[in-house]
Amino acid sequence: MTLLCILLLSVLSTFVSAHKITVEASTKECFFEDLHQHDQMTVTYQVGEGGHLDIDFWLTDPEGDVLAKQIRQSTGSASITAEKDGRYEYCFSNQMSTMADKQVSFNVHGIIYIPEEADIVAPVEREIRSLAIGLLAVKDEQEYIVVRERRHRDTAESTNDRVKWWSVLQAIVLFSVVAWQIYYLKVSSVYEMIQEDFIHRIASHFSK
Amino acid sequence: MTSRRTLSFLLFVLLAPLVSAIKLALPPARVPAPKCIWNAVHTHALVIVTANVSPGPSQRVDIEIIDSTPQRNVYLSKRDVKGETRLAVTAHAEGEVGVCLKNWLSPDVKTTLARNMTRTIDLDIDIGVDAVDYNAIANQESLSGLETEMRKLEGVVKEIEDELDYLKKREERFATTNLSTNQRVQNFAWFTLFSLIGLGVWQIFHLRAYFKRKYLID
Repeated sequence: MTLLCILLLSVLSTFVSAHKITVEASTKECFFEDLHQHDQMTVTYQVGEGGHLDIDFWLTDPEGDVLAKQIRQSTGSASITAEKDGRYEYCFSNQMSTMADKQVSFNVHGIIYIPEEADIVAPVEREIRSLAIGLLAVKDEQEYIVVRERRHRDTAESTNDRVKWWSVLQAIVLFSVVAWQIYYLKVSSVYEMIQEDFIHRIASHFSK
Repeated sequence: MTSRRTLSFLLFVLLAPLVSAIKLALPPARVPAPKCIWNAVHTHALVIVTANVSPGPSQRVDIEIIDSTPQRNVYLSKRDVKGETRLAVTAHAEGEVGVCLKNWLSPDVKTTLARNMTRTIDLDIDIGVDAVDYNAIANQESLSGLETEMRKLEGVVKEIEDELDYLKKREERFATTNLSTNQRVQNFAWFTLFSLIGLGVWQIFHLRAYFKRKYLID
């Protein structure tokens, strides 16, 4: 029963809205959680914008030992069960880049360990609980879709704009190049050379 | 009865973790750069920011809630936040809501001494359904644990519905844009092809006429 509680907590705790931060070039942003023994913590992150879309991530325990480390990843997650009480710190580092700021969206969910025993659950409660889990799963997927859709819409609008300006520019360049070609041929000394050659031929013809 | 109470408590505990909570350590500076955390919101969504700032001498923490327009309009601004503070904001546009924190160092402290100073901030950002206080509603309408959970699920369903409507509208514009791009690419391709051939042919004829006029060819 406790296991079921913890399992349900873990599923429900997954569905929180994501935080987005900007990690400037050559800096790191650190956050922490104070956990008790047996508490669980999961951090998931994704790099939204900036440079090569990569970030360094690490998670340390209260004594400073690194529990999870991911270097130059675009997306990742780390899930730990606290062995000791204390402050667990996790950091996003952009120190490998000197110019590009990175935008990282991340989620933290913690599960508090409940050691108490619960009584038998009525079927209605079980149904409602599974309904809650299903609905929150839908909400989470939707949030992901909303964010992705926004980006794709921006890309599509940008493509549309770019096509318009590209075609206008290319038409201008094409016509101006043709006009310049004809103008240049007319004014260049090529015709003079042709004319000179022509005169030479006539002269040599007459001198024969 | 005790089993029901335990059950209600368990239900509340299960629903309780649906909040976003992060803790960070904010070092002070003479002129601090704001540290901002952004969350996505829909129009008219209720956003409740609960900040718990640890005590710290000679430092002043300011909190500012801004939107994601280029002008960075300020929803709410609070100077010298101490202890637990709740700020409520209603989003007026699609986009993001940012919570910005600044830790000002008091002018009578040397910067070298301030290297180890920091203030721990516990930030809770609840948006939409998470921001509604179901405990208060339960007490007001004397709802059982189960009924409160159902009420909360009702809120979640409404939010899902609204979000799907929003996605539907956005998708319509997206489809129109894509169709327009496709049409433009097609038009441009034909135009380029015909204009290249046309200009090439015209060039040849024009130059021939010109050379004939100049008696360079017959």
